[in-house]
Parts: sequence; structure tokens; C-alpha cells
Amino acid sequence: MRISIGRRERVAEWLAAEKCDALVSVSSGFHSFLEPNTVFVLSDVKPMAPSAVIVRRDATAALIITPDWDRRRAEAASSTETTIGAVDLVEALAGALKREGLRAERIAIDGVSLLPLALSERLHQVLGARARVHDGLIRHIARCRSNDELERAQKATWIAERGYRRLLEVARPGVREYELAGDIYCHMKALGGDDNFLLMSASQHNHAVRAAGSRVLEEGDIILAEITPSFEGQFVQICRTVAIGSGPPAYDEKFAILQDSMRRGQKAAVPGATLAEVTEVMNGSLREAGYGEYCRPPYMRVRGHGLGLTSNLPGDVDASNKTVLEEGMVFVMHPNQYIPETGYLMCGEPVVVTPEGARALSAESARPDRIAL
Amino acid sequence: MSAGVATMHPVVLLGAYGLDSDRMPADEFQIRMAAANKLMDERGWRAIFAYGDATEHRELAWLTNFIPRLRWALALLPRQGAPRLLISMSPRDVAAMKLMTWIGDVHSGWSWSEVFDPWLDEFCAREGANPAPVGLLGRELMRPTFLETMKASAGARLALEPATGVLDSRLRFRRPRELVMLREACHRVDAAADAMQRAWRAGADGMSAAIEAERAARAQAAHDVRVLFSVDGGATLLPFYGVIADRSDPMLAYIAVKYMGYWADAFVTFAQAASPALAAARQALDALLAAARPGADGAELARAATPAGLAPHPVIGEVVGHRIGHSLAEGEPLAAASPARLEPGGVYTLRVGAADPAAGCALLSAMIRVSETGVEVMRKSG
Repeated sequence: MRISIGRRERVAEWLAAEKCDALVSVSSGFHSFLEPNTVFVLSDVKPMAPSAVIVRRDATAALIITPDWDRRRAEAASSTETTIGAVDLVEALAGALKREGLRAERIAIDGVSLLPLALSERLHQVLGARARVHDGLIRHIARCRSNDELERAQKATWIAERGYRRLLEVARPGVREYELAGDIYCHMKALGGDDNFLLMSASQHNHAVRAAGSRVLEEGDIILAEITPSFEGQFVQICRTVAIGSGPPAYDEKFAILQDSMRRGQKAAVPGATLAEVTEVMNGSLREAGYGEYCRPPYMRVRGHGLGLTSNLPGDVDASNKTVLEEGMVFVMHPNQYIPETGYLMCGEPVVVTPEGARALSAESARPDRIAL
Repeated sequence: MSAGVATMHPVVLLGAYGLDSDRMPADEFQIRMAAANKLMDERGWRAIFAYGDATEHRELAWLTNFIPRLRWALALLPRQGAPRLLISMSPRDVAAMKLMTWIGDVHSGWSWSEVFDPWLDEFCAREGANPAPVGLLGRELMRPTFLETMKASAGARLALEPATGVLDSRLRFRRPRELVMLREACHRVDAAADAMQRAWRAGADGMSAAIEAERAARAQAAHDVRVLFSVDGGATLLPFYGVIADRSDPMLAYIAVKYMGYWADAFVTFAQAASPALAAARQALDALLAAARPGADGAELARAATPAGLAPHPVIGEVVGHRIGHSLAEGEPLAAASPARLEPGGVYTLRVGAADPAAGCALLSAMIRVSETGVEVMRKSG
């Protein structure tokens, strides 16, 4: 069974319990790898522009997609019973709700908080104040990956690791950052990576990773790479560090602290644990090594985070996040850290929560790599 | 009527981008801010707040040079006093973000109460007016919760007046330094199209040829690249999504490349076999360019752009073109039923297309700069 159909069955159960006749889920066409795209979750179609899915109580659904000329692609990919190509989403949605006799007061809506005002205010005019806003419903329903989604995540990880291998082949003194980033981005695209939150930068002493610029790589640089491809809508992320040449004197020693943090975090991330607890365990490695005062911005951001486009739960791996881990949740765990002696170092893997802890989806773990000259 | 071509928005704008002080020096932004100040004086505004996100940021970018790579940014531009830029990024990322703007006072907007509220307190104390009128650019792009957060901070102290579009008379006139960037973007679109054509003629499938286009643009420091391609003879165009190993003749594509904040775009058609639709599209594009002159309206252009006896291509529909720059589609579309005209000072993308069961499919385009005296073709698909 296709993933989105299973999700819609959960929605149908929720609709029955809430005495609603339909769920309207809306997307602006904007994509964030840290947010769910509810239209994608319910239809298997990643929209380019404003779109919506109407899920009925019997779990059947209609997809409304703009622009109208994208209907053929959407129809081929969609799990919904009908696919409507539209010039204007709000007009088409109003027409569809009217045709189906769905009354606003018995409709639930998800995704409105993620829409720009230009769209949300027009939707409000159509649905009035009577429709019930349930933003976060799909995020909650899709919080654990299905087997099919895990397979996609595994394939995305395979692509990410090939992207990193390509980086190791291509990175040399004299290459500009944007040339390297463009090359590995296109390499991963050819392998099926349909999008990529790729940050990749280099410095003799990094303070953070950023998007590639015009800087020319030099001997002694450390390249940081946050490689984040999506395969069929499932994002994963690996975080890697590679020195051009031998690297700074304490490179291996300091990187080992991050590796230890990663191992402890994976062991701690079992069903029932909170992300706050996992964060505390991960920070323990840094504290024991004398870097406790650096376990805060701007020396790091978070110890990991959820991944779209399905559900970004469990959210940030952060001391304030009390979300309880469940088996099948997927997120990236990354004890990335600024260390005064080496600069910023990156170490991270996509993981899935299992009873034995967080299992890395990657075949190889991050290590202090070097490009020999 | 939608003017632009829908493309798949990436989760991050990953290409190179920064403030190039040689090509966009401080005086360029002094000139732009002078225009904003004049507007504030005319409208009685004490400040302009310019909001933009990773998808749309035309006014924000024009005023500050800043373009969010993801999420949003808000520029606080008072008539008197120093500006501040709030970005939806971590404090860790602020140093890198500062390289994209002339504004020195840049903060993470995640600490809203620490960076917006104190600025507002100082602003309100200085201005004295209660409420202080403020022009709000980009309101329509904000998420509902963002606007509510800003309103909660402002309380009764600000009168936020929607102002999107009020700078249009300035933005539509491309300044010389902007033209340099637009020409650079055109070069990159043409390089991408050449790479695509070489790959396709060498036997590549549609997706692989499209990736070669993107690779060529990114190798030349493209900030963003969007590609749609056909694998069905051109009846429709697809974004990247998984591996699609199909190939068809002809191949149609849409390529858009952003360079240093400015877009150029192109529709291209490659054919191995003779294509009546492509021949007709070439004639129509020549006729469209011949009809393009300062003041030409959508109806005139649409008449010239219609390939004889062929139905328009669904991807472009009735739209002949529109302005292009910080956004892929700016202003009213040029079409038979639109009042829009070619205005001196503007840079436009113009397109023709056909989709016919017998003649086949074709899409072609050109970019032009309109001056008081005529039209310069900046790039043209072959």
C-alpha cells in the first residue's frame, strides 16, 4: 500500500473521532527540509505551487494542484482518487467543497500556519471562521516512518554518502567552493537526489558551516559539509569534516570527542527517552573533555533535528525539547561543535529510533578525513 | 492570470551569493535608500519594514541586497536612525549572513524579544508619534503567526500600512549596475542551455541533459537554478523528481538562473527531426521581437507571438512575457487581455510556444531591455 494511503486512513479515523466530514490540507509550494509538506504526505505529490488535498471520512481523497499544466505529472504520481489541475487554488477548492456538499463547520484544515498571508487570508474568506484549524495534525500522524519511508531514507543516505565520496575526489587546492558544491550537488541529483539542503564551506579555522561562496580552497583548509539530499521526498543528512593536507595538530583527538558524543547519543536515544535527555548525554562528552562552556550558541546550534518533508518530529535535539522518542522516528544526530584548537567540526548521521538505540542509516560513520596532497 | 512559470522551490538557495562591493558599492544603496526616504516623506511614514523570504524577496533585496537562503528576513529601515536586519537563522549564522548586506546591524530574529522589541522601544521614543506610521513591504508573504508576533510587540505604538508595490516605479527601472548583473545572468542561462543541448544531442536522456545545464550554471557561480524538462515530446515540462531515464525528440526545457540576486530565464527547444512547431515558433519569436517597442501593449505583442494556426503551449498559456529581475516574474503579465505595456527602463522576458497534435511542441524565449528609443535583445533562444 502506498504511504500516503496509510496516512489517509489514520486521518479518516481522526475525522470520525472528531465528527468532521473532511480534512483540507494546504501547501503553498514552499518547501523546507525542517517542516512537513502535508500535501505531499497525503498524496505522494510534491507540489511546485499552491495545492491542496481533501481527505474524506472514507479515506478517499482529491488533489488540487496548480499550475493546471502540472496535472499530468501530479496525476501519475498521486495516490488520490481524483486529481484536479487548477489555475487558482482557492477558487478550485471552493468549487470542489461546494460540489461535494462539504460544510465549513464540519471541515478541519491543516497547514494554514505555514501559508503566506496572501493565501491564508483568501482561504479564510472561502472557509470562513467556521472551519476548524488543526495545524500539526499531519505532522503528528506521520511522526514515525513507515517501512517504505525508511527505504527512501536509506536510499537518500546512500546518495549522501556518494556525494561525500565525490567531494573527496574533487576537492583540491585551487577549486572554488561553489564549483565543488555545484559538482557534488549535480552528482547527487543524477543519483536521484531531488533536492538537497547542501551547506559546504571551508576555512583555515571554521566557526560554522555556511553555503558555498567564492573562496578558493587552500592547503590547510578544513572543509565542512552538511549533505542533505532528499529521495522521493525523504530528507536525510550526513555531516562530514575533511582537512586538505594533514589538518591541525589536535584534529584526531578533538574529533574523537564528537565521535564519543555521537556514540553515547545513539545509545541513549531509545523509545521513551526525551530529546532533552539525549542532549544531556551528548553534551556530557564535551563537558568531560573540558568544553562544557561551548555547548551553547554560537559555538553550536542543536545536537540534531527532525527531517521533512513528511514529519519533522521529534524536532530539535535540544535541552529544551521534551518530546518522547518513539520507535521508527527518524532524525539527524550531529554533535557538531566549535573547538578552539581546531575550529568547527562536523560529525553527524541520520538515525532511526529502535529499541536498541538510534541506528545510523549510513554505512560509514563520520571521521576526521584528510585529502592527501 | 499568473505571469511566471512555476518551478520547484529548493529547500535552500545553496549557490554563491554575497555583497560585491565593487559591482554594488555603497552609493548604489544610498541611491535606493534615498528613494525609500522620499517615499516615506511623501506618505508620512516614519519607517519602512521590508519583509522577504527565500521564495520572494524583491523589495527586501533591492533595499538591502540581502536574500534569505531559507525562511525569512525583515529589514527595519527608519527614516531617521540606523537600520537593523533580522534574519531567521541561528546566532551562529549571523557572521556569514552579514556578508550579504550593507546593513551592519544584523541579528538572529529567533530572539525576537531581544532584537525587535528594544529597537522598537528606541524608535518609538525617538519618533514620539503614537502610533508611528510604518510602511510594511511584503506583508502578503508573511506567515500569519509572524504578523501576529510583530503586532503583539508593536501594540498601539505602530500603524502598520500595507505597502507592497509602492516602490514599483523605482524597481521597474533597471539601474546600470543592475543591468550588468542581468547580462551576467543571461550569459549563464545561455551557457546552461548550450550544455543541455550538447548533452541531449550526444544522446543523453532529458533528466541527464537538464542536470548538465544545472552543472554549467553552478560552475559559473549561479545563486539559484531552476530547470524543467520534457520527456514526452514537449507536451508538458517536469521538475526533477527521482530518476527519469526517458528521452524524446524534440526536447523542450525551461531554464532559469539567478546570479548575484538577478534572474535570467530561457525556454529552449532542441530537435533532431524537422519540427514544424519549432519552425513556427522561431518565426513567431522574430515577429514578437519586431513588435517589441517602448509602449507596445500586450495585445500587440500577443498577436505577433502567436504561431500561425497553432494552439498555445499550456505552460505559457496566453502570457507573452513579463518583467524579470529579483523575481522570476514581476509586474502585470503581458497578454492580449492585460493592460500591461513594455515600459522604458524595464527588462522583460518574452516567450512563444505551440502545442499541436500534428505540428508538435515548441517553446522559445528572449530577454529584452526597453529604452526610451527602442529595444535591445539581451539573449535569444535559437
